Amino acid sequence: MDRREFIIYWARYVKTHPDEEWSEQQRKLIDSQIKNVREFYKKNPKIAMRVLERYRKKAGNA
Amino acid sequence: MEWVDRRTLKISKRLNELDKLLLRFVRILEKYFEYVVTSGYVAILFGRARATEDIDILVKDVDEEKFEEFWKEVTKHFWCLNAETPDVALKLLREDSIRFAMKGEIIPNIELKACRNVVDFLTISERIKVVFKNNQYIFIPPLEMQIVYKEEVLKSEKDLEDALHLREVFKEKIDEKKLEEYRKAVKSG
Repeated sequence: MDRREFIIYWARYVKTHPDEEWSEQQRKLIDSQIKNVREFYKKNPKIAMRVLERYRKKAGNA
Repeated sequence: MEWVDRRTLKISKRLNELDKLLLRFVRILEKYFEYVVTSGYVAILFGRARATEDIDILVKDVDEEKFEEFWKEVTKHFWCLNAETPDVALKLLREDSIRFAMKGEIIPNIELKACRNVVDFLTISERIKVVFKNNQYIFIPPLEMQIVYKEEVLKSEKDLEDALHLREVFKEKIDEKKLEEYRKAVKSG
């Protein structure tokens, strides 16, 4: 299954299943990704600072 | 998902971290601004299997006094990642964008942009209300506008996939005439 086919497959799953069902699967995926990013930034504060600086630099150029 | 009327959709999803963050933020935001949550989060709201580092919100501009009231309240719970004072933040909001996250965090964050053109104002004036199971709600753009914007303006692989997801989930609901109307509006700037 390629990416496009998977997107259509998953969209049809969302459409044909109760919200509670698909959203529980989605919740696990999203929450674990956010948890991983948070842990990564905690372990790598320099990278976190760089991300923050990028936001601020963009703001400084506005 | 269930349409209550043409402009109201009920959703019974289990809330993820992004949903919870957004709901906390908009309860403050809505006291001061007319808004719509746009872009990637809209596809995620309706089931797209991906995360995002930021949630984009489009707001109608407000005066300095109202913005200061918003700033006082929002900074009790969130911190602004790219401005330290309300006057700088308002200037940035008008010229570019401002970002807020839960205190001590960078990601996920919420990016606020002010309306700048006809399409932005149209997006807010025709917004849709999405009501969650706990009766909390948010406003999003019309689905047709969201699809067109992703297909015609943003155009990255991720955005085209989001548009495909929305097209498939709301296949029977999408108004082709509206889609073309918005496409013309977006193309003419």
